[in-house]
Amino acid sequence: MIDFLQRLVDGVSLGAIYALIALGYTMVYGVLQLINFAHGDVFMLGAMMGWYASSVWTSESRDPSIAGALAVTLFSMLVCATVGLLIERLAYRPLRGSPRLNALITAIGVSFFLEYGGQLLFGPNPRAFGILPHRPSSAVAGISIGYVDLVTILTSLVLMIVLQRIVFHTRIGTAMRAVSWNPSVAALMGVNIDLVISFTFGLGSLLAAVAGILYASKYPSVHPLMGLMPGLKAFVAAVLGGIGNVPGAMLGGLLLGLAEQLVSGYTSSSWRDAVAFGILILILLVKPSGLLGRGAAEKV
Amino acid sequence: MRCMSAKFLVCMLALAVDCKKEPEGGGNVGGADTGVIKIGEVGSMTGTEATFGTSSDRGIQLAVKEVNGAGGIKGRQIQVIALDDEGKPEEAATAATRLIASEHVLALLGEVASTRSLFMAPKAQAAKVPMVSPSSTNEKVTAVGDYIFRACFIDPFQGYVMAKFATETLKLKKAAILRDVRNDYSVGLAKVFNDNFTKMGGQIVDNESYSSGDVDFKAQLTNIKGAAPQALYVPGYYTDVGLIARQAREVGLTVPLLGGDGWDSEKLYEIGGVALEGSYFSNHYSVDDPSPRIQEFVGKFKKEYGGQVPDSLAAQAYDAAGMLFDAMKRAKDLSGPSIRDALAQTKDYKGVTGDITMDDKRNATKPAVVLKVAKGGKYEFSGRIMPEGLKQSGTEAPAESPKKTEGNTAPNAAPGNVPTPTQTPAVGATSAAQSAANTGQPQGVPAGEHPKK
Amino acid sequence: MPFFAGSALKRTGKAVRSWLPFFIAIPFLALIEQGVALNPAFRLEYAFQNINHIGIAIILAVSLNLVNGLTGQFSIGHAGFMAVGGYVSAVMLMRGPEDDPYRIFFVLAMLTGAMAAALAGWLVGKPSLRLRGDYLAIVTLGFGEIIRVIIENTPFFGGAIGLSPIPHRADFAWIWAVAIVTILVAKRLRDSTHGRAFLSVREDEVAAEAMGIDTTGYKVRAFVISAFFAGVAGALSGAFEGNLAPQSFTFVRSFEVVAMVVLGGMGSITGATIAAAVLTILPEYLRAVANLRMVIYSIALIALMLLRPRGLLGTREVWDWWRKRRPARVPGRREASEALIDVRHATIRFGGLTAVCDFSLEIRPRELVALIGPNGAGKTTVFNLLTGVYPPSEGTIKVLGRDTRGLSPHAIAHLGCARTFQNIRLFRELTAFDNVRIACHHLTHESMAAAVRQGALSEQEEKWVAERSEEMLEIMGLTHRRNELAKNLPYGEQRRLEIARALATGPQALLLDEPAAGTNTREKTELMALIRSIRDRFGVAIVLIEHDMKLVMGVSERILVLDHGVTIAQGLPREIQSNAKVIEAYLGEKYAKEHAAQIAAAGSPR
Repeated sequence: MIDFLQRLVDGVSLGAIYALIALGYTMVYGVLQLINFAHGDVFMLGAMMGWYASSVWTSESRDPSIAGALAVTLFSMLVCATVGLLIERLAYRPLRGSPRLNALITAIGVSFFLEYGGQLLFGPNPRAFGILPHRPSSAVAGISIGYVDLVTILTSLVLMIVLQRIVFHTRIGTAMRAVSWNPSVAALMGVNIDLVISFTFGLGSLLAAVAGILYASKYPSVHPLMGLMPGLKAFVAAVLGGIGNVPGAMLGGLLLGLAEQLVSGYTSSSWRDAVAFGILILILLVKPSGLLGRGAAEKV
Repeated sequence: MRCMSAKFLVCMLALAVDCKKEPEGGGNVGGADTGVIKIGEVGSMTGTEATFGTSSDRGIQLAVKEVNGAGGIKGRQIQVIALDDEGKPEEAATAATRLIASEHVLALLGEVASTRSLFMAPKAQAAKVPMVSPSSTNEKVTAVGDYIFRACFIDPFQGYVMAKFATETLKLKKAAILRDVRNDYSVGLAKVFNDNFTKMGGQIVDNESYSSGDVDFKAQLTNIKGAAPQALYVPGYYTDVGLIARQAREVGLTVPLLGGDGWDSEKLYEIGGVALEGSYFSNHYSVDDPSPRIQEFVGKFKKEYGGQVPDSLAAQAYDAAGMLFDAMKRAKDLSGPSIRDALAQTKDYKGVTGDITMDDKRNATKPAVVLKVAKGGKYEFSGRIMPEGLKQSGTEAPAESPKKTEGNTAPNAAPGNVPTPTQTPAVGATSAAQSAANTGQPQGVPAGEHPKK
Repeated sequence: MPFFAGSALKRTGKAVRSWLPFFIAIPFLALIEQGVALNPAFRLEYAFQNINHIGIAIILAVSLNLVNGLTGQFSIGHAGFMAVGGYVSAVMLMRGPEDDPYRIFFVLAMLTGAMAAALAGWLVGKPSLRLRGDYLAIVTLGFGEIIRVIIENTPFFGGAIGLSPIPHRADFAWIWAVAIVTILVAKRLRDSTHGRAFLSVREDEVAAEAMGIDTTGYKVRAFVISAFFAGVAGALSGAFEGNLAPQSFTFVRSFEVVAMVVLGGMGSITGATIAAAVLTILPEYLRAVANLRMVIYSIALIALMLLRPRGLLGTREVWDWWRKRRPARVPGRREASEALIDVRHATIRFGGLTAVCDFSLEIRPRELVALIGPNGAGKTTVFNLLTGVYPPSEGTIKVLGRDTRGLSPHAIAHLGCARTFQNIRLFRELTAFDNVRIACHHLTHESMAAAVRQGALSEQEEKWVAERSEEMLEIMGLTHRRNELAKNLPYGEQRRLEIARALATGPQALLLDEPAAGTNTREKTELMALIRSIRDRFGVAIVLIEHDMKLVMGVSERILVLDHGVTIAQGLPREIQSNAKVIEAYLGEKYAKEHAAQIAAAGSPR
């Protein structure tokens, strides 16, 4: 029983990270109907920038503090937001009227570019990451919860609440939702489409950066290809919850993290990645609009 | 347009055919009597396993430099042509073919990973070009043919080594295994350890697996903890091992970890940190072994490569090259068959990683050392295990030797989730190497694949 | 007697001609292999290794082109099928006989592997192909990875170290023979009516369905065929290299093949072939900057998408310049038979909105019925119900006596109910001729195998399809636009082309959705005459949705008026004009008064 609960806790903390990445996917898909394959690599960039900021340009990693961690995270968020905006501007905006397949291929191209360019620029070797101060794990009834896990869950919750507020209680959020429903009409209503889309990308990239830092704190091995798998899995999480749906992304992330931990615990871990794809295939066959999503019929 | 595309296709085909260069200085068989001696090297210089290729390459280049400096072989200089296979097996085969058929090399060095060696070996065997693998440990490699050799021991031996150490020295009765199912080296070692440990009276209480590139092992470790072993055998690669160690401690598994030569890297402690202290792994040699042979090598390597400490891959590659050159010196001429015969007769070649003798399967019989990860990431010599039937020979290292490199202090890595990057070499002359190592020099990272040793 | 012998000779001659390229190639390839490739005197092992790699890449790229290029489905799991084929055949070869001088066992192993791959393709494709493009990409990627993980974890398949030694049974001749076969098969499929069916799926699935093409079936077929050839490539690769390792079949490998298809031009077999050659040989030349290879790939791909999304060759083929034009047509006439559309109390709801409520309609053969009503009345929804785009929430719909509940649109089209679309759904990137030819597809009987074999039936049917299509174009006055891309036609001609296309399916009921939208007065008059003449000539019943009252009154025999999903009136045009409810809701009193004389003068249509 203890084992089961331990796995639950591990699943929740892993799921929280997936949720953060999934949020970025889901928002971009909502406004652009594009699977931004490069999102996982922006996540990697967040971790990588965090490493540089904490180990090379400052000495945060050698003398960690909460304030230092926040500073590093903010820096990383800034860089990632910029990169996200650049990607949107240079690679996706020109393709807005084109068939979706073209944008998809471009997205894959950007992802590869970031990964292999990163290998070239940063070198493929892994870095040890650490920006949070050392605190011992808490133990509750025989189950250990790491300090990083607590921080992760807390941060994710806070960010999700903030995101909900933005999307549902601000003007720009309303504009985002309008664009996701019908871009041409939104434009007619005076919404600046370009601005909204750029904002969405920036926001998603910010979240990816934070996810990257939290992930690297939990699994402290940072390297240019680290974003591939988490990116794919977060996409699965977004689809599971209903792509375009913010609470859906959170739910999907959580469920995926739990499923992964339970499956690899009770069967074999070789199937860990297969779990994610299995869930994807299942949900697309059974309820393609996702758990919390609403289907959109194509107008004939 | 039709004409253009047809012409284009013809051009491409012509270029493909023309890809070979004109032979210089003699072909593979027989060879000219003057000019450079061409040796081919295949390694993963880029991609996810870039460290192994570059490390091995450095060992080889050092050996070449030494031999050339001493006058070469039979009065001729050696030229190594190194090709990158990007870590892909089919690329290794292509590179081997190119070296054999286009560059007309007299011998091949490579590869590190057994899978890639297996792709190369048939080409070498068919062309009667001797091939020496520095680090491929799967038995099948040398079974391809009598032109294929290796300078390292094979998986069955290493698994035996750790089983023997665990039962005899550590007096353990119960162990668990966590193997990398994507890595045949890991799978092979795990199986042999399993067989030998049980044969020697122990009991394997749990057998779990992961895939290289995974970052989360809590699920398996929780299972293992539940089985209450006295040690955990993790014959995987260093970055995974680092993360595994940390997470093991996080779930409350405090028993020592045991491993193989895949652990050997400066990065091991950097990622694993304090969680690794008290663990053991088998290796080919110990950098701290005060024997003059080893220290000379370490010194030369550091001098040549800006203070970088050679890892076991570099040492093995250095020995593989050295062994090859030694055979070439002894061979009556530089034809394939002659070099092959000389290689097969290698006896007690004084390598850095031990005295190497080729057995009848063209594998190296030499002892393995067991190292303990002590406080601060220092490695302590903990034992030398001989292959069954071989007498003790060569240098004996004292039970405890301080790490020869200038002091390093791991900043207080308190138990917890956060590792701190340690500086293995000293601050000062070597910090340049550290930052160089971190930014420029490609070093392997098992993002997707691991070295199949 | 002589006649008999003559036709048998002709058939043999035809068969020989269709396989001729292959028969010429085999001895030629064998000669090269024995004389050059394997000849130790030439030392060309490296060159031929590259050439063989190109051959395998061609098989992969051309087969993937069938799915990604021709049918427009985005699959990134090709390496998985290659792995299945490679491993199954390798396992067989390693347990097979020591000697295989005539390669009989090898062929058996290769085909087994390919069939296994095709089966895998079916298993993957059947559930996934109804997903949208971006989802399909991820799912195929996932399946590819799952296949690889399974292989890695199965000791029977060698696990991480792979399988070796595999008997060396394939070399230059075999690889290139298969490559040529692959190109031939792809070419012949593409040029056949099935190829056009594939293209229609790519261009506009909804329209293709409406033209009687089983889109899901065709997607699955493309998938399975391409998986088959990927399996063949895997088998050849294993038998050539002597080794197989799971690391060779990662997502990156799949993506490299996708890059070849995209670079060459989605849908162009020539392009895929050239791109396969280029992208295989280039890394050998770029050894100096090998670590930049993937970076260059990705930049090139992005640039390509931005600047030339159709790829180098787009959909053009090398042999398009050899193509001859088909000569004149034979007029044909199709007799009308008993046709019936019988809708009883059909209702459809979308969430909380009832779009159509308790709708009943009966269409008899050769009738001209108009469906009118204000915007949003549900008229197009009725068409969608009739053609099977939506199933009704309540009620029954019978087309030609058959209950259509559960039938897909292409089945209903096949029954004999065709339509045009409010927003014009032509296959924009195809010519007018091809647009119409596709509509004839569901009337053909040749199988894909027959198309590849270029058998007698397939040649006959191609001829018939071409003639029929030319006739349709002529009737619509579009002969001069035969080879023009549909998207380049002026608006009015596009509408006429859509009608021509719908007619070509040979329907007994034709549903026209606002055929006069955007046309001027003169064109409307012509259209009126055209619609009547179509009904006369082909004996079809026509149901018309229109807003232009002049057209409606001038053409229809019966009018049905919808408002907010409910039928508010039905009857002769004169009755409708004077119906108070209708006038109120729609026509407007003013109109009726002003045009009363005109309408009376036009007389009640037959």
